[in-house]
Amino acid sequence: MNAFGWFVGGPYLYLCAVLFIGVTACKVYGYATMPRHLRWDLYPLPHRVGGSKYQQIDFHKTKQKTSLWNEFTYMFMEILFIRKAFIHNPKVWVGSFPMHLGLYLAILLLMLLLLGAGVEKLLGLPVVPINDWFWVSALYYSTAIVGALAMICGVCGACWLLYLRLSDEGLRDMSDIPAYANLTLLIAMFGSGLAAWFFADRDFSMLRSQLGSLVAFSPTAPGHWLITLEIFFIGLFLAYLPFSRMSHYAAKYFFYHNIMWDDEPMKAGSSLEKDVTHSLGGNLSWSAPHIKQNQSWLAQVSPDEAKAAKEGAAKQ
Amino acid sequence: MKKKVLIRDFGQETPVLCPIDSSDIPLLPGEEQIVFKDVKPAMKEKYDFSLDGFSALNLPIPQTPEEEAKIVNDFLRGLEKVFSEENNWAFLQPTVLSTDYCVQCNTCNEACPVYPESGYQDIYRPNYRAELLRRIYRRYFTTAGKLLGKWAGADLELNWRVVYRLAELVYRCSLCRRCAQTCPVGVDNALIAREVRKLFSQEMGIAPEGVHKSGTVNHLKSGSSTGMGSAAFLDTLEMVEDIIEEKIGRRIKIPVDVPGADFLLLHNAGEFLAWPENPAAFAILFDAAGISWTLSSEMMGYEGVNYGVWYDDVQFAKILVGQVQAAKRLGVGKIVVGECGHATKATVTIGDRICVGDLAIPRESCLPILADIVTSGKIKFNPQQNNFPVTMHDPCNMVRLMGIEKPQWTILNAVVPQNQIYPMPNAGSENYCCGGGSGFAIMNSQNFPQWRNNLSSRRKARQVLEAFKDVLDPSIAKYYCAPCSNCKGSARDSMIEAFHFKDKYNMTYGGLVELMVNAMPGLPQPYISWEDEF
Ligand code: SF4
Ligand code: SF4
Repeated sequence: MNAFGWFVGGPYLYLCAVLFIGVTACKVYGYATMPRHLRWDLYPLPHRVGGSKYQQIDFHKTKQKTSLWNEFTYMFMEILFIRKAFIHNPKVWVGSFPMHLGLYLAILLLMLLLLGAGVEKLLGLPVVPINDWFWVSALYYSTAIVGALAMICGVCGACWLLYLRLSDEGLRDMSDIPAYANLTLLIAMFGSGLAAWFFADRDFSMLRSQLGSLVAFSPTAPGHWLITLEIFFIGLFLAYLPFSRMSHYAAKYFFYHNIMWDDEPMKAGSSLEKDVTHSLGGNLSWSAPHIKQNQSWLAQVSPDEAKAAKEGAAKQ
Repeated sequence: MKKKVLIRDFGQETPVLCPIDSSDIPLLPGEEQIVFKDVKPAMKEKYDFSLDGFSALNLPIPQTPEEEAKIVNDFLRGLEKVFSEENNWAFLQPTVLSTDYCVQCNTCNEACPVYPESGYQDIYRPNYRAELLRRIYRRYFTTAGKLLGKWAGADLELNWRVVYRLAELVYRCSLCRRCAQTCPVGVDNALIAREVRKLFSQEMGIAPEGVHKSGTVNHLKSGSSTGMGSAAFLDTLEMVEDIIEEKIGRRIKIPVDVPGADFLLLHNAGEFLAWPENPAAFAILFDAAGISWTLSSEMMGYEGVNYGVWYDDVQFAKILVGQVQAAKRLGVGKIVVGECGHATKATVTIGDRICVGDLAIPRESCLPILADIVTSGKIKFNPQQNNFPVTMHDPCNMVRLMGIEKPQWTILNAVVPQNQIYPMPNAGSENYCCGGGSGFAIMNSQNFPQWRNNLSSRRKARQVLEAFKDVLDPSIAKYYCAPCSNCKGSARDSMIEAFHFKDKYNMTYGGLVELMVNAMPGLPQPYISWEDEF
């Protein structure tokens, strides 16, 4: 058990974390380096102060006012409160909001645990309820509260969503197996965390010392089998996350900034123009009769240039 | 009755997967019954009606196993190209993201104008058609899908029925993107529908006849999707000048091919044939406001539509480049698009990233210019001349896809008395599609118009009735204003011809400029003549 515990609490978790970071980074890089696409805006755009520029005569000559703050607050509401689900799908929101809140609180818990581990290791101050240093006591209590809330919110939210997916005919009919698998994994992760907290580690001290050992690269076996189970599911979740649709947290940036809100105009000499010109030079291999196979976009749109290109190629 | 159709059953061998029964459809207030005409048996034998009993594409039923296999193989080859950078750089990132990240929450469902008005048929859920594509893509193009099948969410096996039904199903979505506005993740099912349309067109040569053969192909050949050549266009302008003279008592010479004019005005050429009072009204307003403008009689220079934007990037780019080059040759300062939503979006925003190098020319909507005529006081309007109830439809392409929300309301508020303005529920960027978007208004194959009028346009008709609910009495003449040609076409076909709003409620329809001219001083007679409209 100890060897297994050490493996799960150490190498396994390192591996899962590396997989999570590596695959997420690759995916994000892949999206970020995709070619600039044609415009596909969806209004209103929060960064446009006073509304869309297309409401003005000669908008291209006018300096447009933009507000990053508006974008930020919009995204904040969307990410933190799942605003659109609240407005358009309250029964899903009832589960989605606490589940997401559980995840955000879990991230906060991780930070508090790391801070606590640092305080213990580097400053030699034990993170206990009664301490000479008020802020260390505060750290102790906030860790316990945030951690417990994270587990409770996560479990409740994911359970509600699973219940809804099973009981609501429309949701059930549109769901595939991964949709259930994702929720089951979330329930397992938060559920094991809740059980570990309740039965074994009310003040998260065991999890803190486990994290401390990981950060110091001298992993130990967790102090209780429930914590081993919790870590096992956390690792599984981390390793699986970037391969699943649950990683929409990374895609969301591109959905909003690169698609719905991307109204960057084409300007002569811009890098956008360079990129698009490059793409327009690529050959198409679509097979329909109205498309000239293996000729460039430019050749498709301009018959004269296509002819010239053909003649040029024939001469060579 | 709602018919349950699971995604994995989409290819099942049944004559019609989800037959639409008129009793499924929620009636409009005052509507007694809906009658669908039967399709002739000979047609049913020859063409595929197997999705919902309707056909937008006239797809001939394959007769041999080889033909069936070819349909599947061609589709898969096209699908691969949709996800390739070389063939689809133009929409690769949005397509990949919207394919990968739907969390199947159904939040988008209620936003759709079609799904609730169909009696909540599964196949019309906004995420249903996209989900079909996702599962096919996973099944045939991802390692997890190939190895794990349904365990990886890849539970749809392809056969020719799946392909043909999907082809039809992407023409049951008007690409209004109202669903995309509600998605908490940012997924755009309309984009997926458009990309599938593109796959069918660019790989398999499958597209609705009204959109492709007599649409973009005709446009590129003759200069206009109406088939109107340059000489015919010039003749039509004379007719428009006659209308102006008849209406306002003086002839205005419409400027054509004026080099160096401030802008080239691009109308949807359908206006000249179906609603010539609309281009006439533009000419009257611009003349009175002293604006420098011109039309072009050159090939590609007098037609503003670009049907390619709905289904085919190559056709889209060809038309856009033709229009821009016509404007460039004329030496105008910019292109301004008239009252046509899709043309405005295609020319101004979607086309922006095609207009590189020499193709760069400013392009904008007519609405800010028209609003400026109002706010600058260049023309003094008398709203009392429009003393009848008016409701305004905000075209999706202008409000939701370009954010043009204010100018049309600035105009309306200035030319119609306040107590006669009846806003529709959800006016603005959350407005519902007219029902004719994405080509529906010009698609008339087989029994598709019955589907369009009764399902796609029903929500708009409901909104109009809601807006006018206090003035429905037929003794009160009322005006449905739609500053978009396609939306007007849709109003004509659905509200006037299918739902009989003219007969029942004395409602007429028209553009915004007609209302403006109707409020101009010194008219010998009202510009909007209620009896002539129909
Ligand atoms: S784009 Fe419009 S018509 Fe199509 S599914 Fe979405 S809401 Fe429905
Ligand atoms: S498209 Fe968005 S709103 Fe619709 S089911 Fe998918 S994630 Fe939910």
